[in-house]
Amino acid sequence: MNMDQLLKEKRYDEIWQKYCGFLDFSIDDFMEIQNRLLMEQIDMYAKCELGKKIMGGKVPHTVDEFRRIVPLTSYEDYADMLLPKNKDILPSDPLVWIQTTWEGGKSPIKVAPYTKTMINHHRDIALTCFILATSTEKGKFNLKPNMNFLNGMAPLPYLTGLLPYTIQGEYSVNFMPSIEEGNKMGFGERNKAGFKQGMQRGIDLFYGLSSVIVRMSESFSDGSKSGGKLDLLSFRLPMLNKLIRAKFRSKMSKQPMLPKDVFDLKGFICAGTDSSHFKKKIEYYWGVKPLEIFGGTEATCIAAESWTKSGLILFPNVCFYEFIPMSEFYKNLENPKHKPKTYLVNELKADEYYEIVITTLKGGAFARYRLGDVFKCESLTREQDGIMLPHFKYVDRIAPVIDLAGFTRITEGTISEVIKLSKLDIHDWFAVKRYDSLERPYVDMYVELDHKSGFGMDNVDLIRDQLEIYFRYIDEDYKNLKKMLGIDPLQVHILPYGSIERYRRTIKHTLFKVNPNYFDVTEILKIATTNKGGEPYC
Amino acid sequence: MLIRDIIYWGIPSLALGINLVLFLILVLSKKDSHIRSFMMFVLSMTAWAATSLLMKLQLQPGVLFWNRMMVSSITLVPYFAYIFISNFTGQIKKTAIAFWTLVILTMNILNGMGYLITEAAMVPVIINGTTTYELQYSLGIPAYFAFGTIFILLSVCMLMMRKAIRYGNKSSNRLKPILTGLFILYVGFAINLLPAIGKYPVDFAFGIVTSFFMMYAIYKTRVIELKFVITRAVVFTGLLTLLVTITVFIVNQIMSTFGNFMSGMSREGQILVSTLVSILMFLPLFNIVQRLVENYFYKVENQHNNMIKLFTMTVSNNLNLENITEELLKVVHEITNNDRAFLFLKNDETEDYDYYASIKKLDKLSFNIQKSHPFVRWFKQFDDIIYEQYVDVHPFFKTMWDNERQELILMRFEAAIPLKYNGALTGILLISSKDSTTRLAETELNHVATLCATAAITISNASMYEKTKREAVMDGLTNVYNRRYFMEQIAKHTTNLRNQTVSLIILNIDMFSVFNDLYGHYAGDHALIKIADAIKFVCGSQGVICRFGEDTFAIILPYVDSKGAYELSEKIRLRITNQSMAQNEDANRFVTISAGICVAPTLAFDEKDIVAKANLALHAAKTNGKNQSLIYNPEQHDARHNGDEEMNMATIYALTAAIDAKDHYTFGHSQRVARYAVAIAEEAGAAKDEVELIRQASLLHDIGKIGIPENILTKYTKLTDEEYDTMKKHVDMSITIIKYLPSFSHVIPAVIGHHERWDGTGYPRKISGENIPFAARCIAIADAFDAITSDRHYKSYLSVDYAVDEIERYAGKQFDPKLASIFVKLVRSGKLIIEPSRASNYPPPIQPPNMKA
Repeated sequence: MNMDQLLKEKRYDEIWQKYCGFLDFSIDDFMEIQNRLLMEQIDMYAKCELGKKIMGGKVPHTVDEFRRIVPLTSYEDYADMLLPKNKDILPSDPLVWIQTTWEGGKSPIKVAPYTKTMINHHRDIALTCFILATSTEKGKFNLKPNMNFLNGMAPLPYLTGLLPYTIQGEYSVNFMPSIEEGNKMGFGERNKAGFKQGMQRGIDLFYGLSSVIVRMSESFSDGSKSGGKLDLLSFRLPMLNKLIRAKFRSKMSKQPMLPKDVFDLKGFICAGTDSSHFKKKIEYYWGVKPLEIFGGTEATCIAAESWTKSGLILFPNVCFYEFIPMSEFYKNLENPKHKPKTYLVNELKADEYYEIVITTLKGGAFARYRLGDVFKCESLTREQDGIMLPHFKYVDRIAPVIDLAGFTRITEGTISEVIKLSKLDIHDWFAVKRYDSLERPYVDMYVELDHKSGFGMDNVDLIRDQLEIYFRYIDEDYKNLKKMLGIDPLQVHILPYGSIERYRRTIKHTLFKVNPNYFDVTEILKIATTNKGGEPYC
Repeated sequence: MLIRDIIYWGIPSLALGINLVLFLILVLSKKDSHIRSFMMFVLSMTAWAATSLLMKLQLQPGVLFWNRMMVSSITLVPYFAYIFISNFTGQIKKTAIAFWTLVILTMNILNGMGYLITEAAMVPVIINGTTTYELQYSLGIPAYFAFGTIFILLSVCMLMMRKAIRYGNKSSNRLKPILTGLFILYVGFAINLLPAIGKYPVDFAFGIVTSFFMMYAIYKTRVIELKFVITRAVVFTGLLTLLVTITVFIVNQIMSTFGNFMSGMSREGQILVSTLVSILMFLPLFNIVQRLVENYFYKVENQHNNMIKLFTMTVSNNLNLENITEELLKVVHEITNNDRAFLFLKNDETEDYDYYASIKKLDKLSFNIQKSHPFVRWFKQFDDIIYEQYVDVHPFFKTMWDNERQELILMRFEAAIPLKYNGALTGILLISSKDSTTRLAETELNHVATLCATAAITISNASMYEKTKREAVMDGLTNVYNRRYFMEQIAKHTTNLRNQTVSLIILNIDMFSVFNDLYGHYAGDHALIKIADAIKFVCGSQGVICRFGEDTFAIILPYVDSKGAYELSEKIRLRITNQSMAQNEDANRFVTISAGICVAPTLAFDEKDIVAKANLALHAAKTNGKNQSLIYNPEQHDARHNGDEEMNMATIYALTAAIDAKDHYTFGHSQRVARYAVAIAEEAGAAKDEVELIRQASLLHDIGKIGIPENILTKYTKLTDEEYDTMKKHVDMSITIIKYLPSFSHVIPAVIGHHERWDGTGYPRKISGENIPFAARCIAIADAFDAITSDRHYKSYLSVDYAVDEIERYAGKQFDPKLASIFVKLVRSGKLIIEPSRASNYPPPIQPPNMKA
């Protein structure tokens, strides 16, 4: 019986148990699933060429042995075998290959195979997210067949594009725009078309990138102030009624019209790097607490919040999870030969930050794979909700990567390339991710100019413009930050020549060029101040 | 009473009764969209019958009103049939539904306004002197359109059904009853239009049949489980309704028959008589109905209970596992009427649940249920039955592997029932569904669960008994049969199969005592287990494998000739040679086996003879160089048994001479070492046997040097690291050579240890202190002393005093301090006379080309 039938027959308890029953697990139940499914994966993995390569021809017989024998991996370890999309080397036949960009990689894209079972799990997880997004209380949710669904995510071959196809035949929703129409449109165009249809028919469910949702919401409110033209004839009566009432109220109160005044949203699902910074705004605009989820091409969707929307909870049957504490992460960053120690879900400590490591289950390709994402374990349980599993907050990408609103990822390699192309005589530099007053992320870049360069300390704008040209040139997504999200992604500061090097000489650890730690930044800026008599940088 | 009356009154009454019962069943069942739409259809049929009866009773507000109500009901019947079929076949078209809703609504509005039925009345008619009433009505023109519409709608329904069957939306077998039902309804309406037949309620009769067909279709598609729905209460209520209707009808007829007699009575009197007649009529009928209902329901339950009781009695004193499980499966079959049940019992060794038996002997499952399987975890925590739908819905089953899920799908899994006793899960019963539509009733599964709970106790007892019985004949370490069982079996096979072939293989581990001395008994036990596993692996289900002695196994092979036995023995031997049997590589080279084979009745005539001759063949294999299989040969093996040891001694001296001849500088070294080491051992108070062992070991200690290249052995300058490593290999080579001297295998620990040092820095095993065998410690001192006091290619001899001082200096480092002290005393006191060993006493060595003499 599919979800539509279960909903028609009002078998809500059964639905909740099937899709959200894992929230009643104890940590031991959770680990039981993790360990048993890992053994299944090892069994399959050991027999295939990819598995033999990654596990060095050894066959672990226990979870501990697996963690001892198999090294931590990155996409570099898989690229040669996965990029040709050869199914014969895999643990299980893939049904589809999912793709994403590979910033700083040796190929422009990364691909990941998805087996039938993985896709079935992905479908169940999508439905779990729908249920939890429309839920405010344990066991109660507001999901119906044929709801209007605004899907503001990328189409196939990206992971988010899998959603419409996985739920087909299981749960009926009206995609806005329809899948066929949407596939022909670009990202921005599809969002606009979806929103337009939403205005006419109403929106029940919304799934989108947090940064984009906020931008759309702001545009909606701004548009309401400026009184944009609307084709009233295309509206359905209930929507027209709501719109007229909302307009009237807005006029009377002289406040901008917000999306929540028009839309009666049942559930909101958001994802993306800076979601935690955008969630409050989304709630303000739309009147519902968004459900944050976390996923990635290599891992699929691995975590979602519960009905309280207060922290991500990992799905137990999607991947096997390990966590590298930050102390071990930095040791490994300084000395790549250092093998960082990993911890399992039942070994974590509250308030600690960890880099996540996954092993895909059910015939997936990745073993002990470093996703490059940092989580904070906020609490080990939330007894007030009766959930005895750890709750996480997604923090950011790992330090050497600056992810801007989930749109683009900037690495040391990217910036070095930009500097090289710009031909600016930049002697030394470092870059830090920061948020502006509106909680929008941007890159703060500190540069030292060569003595020979013709620029002075007051040429900041010139240098920023020059750098931006090349950022836009080598990174397609960078352009969209300004265009779609209204973010000014780059701020440049000029430091006195030699400041960074002077500081570097005083420390024993490595000074990272991208996202150096807070103490390092403060100290460099102090040195810069001394160098320039009170005006450290522009 | 006229037949006409019975038809007139009886059929609508029956239709009403049946439809009411049907409706009641549906009200009490678990509802979904199919059931709900079917309920509306049944309700319209009920309304049709009810309004017809009310019209015939000419109740207020009058015949015309009830006639119009009946016509409305008639229009609703095809409409709800259409809704039900749309829903049931999944062909929901909102526009079409809206259209038909509008049409039916219009028809009913017109009917309410009196355009369909303009007049209706019950007209008295006298037939054969009896007055009866007949309905007379006149139709408006729209009525013809209305009836036409009904036929069109019914045709649409039938077309939808045909389409569903053709395109396989639902299995055609399940849809055919609905199609048939609709056809009957269609015919019923059509016949009703014929004036001759139309005056009878033929359409009602056809309506009843249609309802039953639809009900059957629903039941077959498992939308509704009749066994769950038709409870005692429902059936009883239904029958009671029917009974009341019949009673009212009969009493009414009786009263009208005796109308003249009653007319003289007062109203109270009439009521009293009617009541009495009703009670007299009703009570006996009520009793019969009650008994019928109770009998029907208790019959099944009683049957099941009796089966369980009988099973309990049958198996309670039975300790034969096979009988118990056979009986259990038989009763499961009887209760469920399903012959696809599979029993898995716990394997105490692996703790997995292995397939044991099924109702149909040949219907086997090829998988086992692992101890970590979610079913096992579930039953350890709960006693509840696992139903098919749990596997998809319950998060507990997220741990299930894909292949486990696939196995359940392939077997058409319906339910899993635990066999639990005292909280311990002794087994699991898996039940497959008979086909894709039929499911067992919950009560049946509960009865099976009760049965399994009873069976768990007896199975647990029987398993324990079997285990004890098995343990009595099993070797605890290797898990093969023990010697006692071997003696029973070999006697049985050589007696019973006197005219049939039976082979016996006796396998002995080569130098197992040496292995134990060198690596300890724990390592020895480990090797025994691995060897037993290898034998079991090769033999499979063939033969009887026993542990015959400490380091000896025997395999009885009925119906196998000598060739077959030899091939099997060689397979075992090669597996043991090629696979790792010991815990470390060093120890592994020791583990080989020799085998002796004998066949009865060709070569032996009874159990003693076959064992003795297999042993002779084994002995021959041992003395022939070990690690081989030999079939008993009466001509060779009996004669060869004598004089082996003499031959071995001669071999030793020949080998010692060979090494002396190879290296002139060490000529007589082995004999001198033997003399010194024996002196130390005697002075230390060693037993005679040990002294003899030391003498033999000393003679053989450098025998491996035969395999060292001469340029290293006779090198004049210091050995390079590489050369020294090669030189060190002479210890290993000594062992390899001694392994082929069966009578001297006991000297191996002494030989292998003579370069070990007291402080653990020696070679090859780097053992220290008293872990070095006593004999090896004695030889080490003697060997070093003779090396110092003798000429070598690379040095001249040194004085005895110097040598004694060196021994003293290295006591506690290289040498056993106690033995070193004994040796020093022996030399200094003159008790041990040192033979001078000078190169000049012997023929000059051949010099390398770049060296001068």
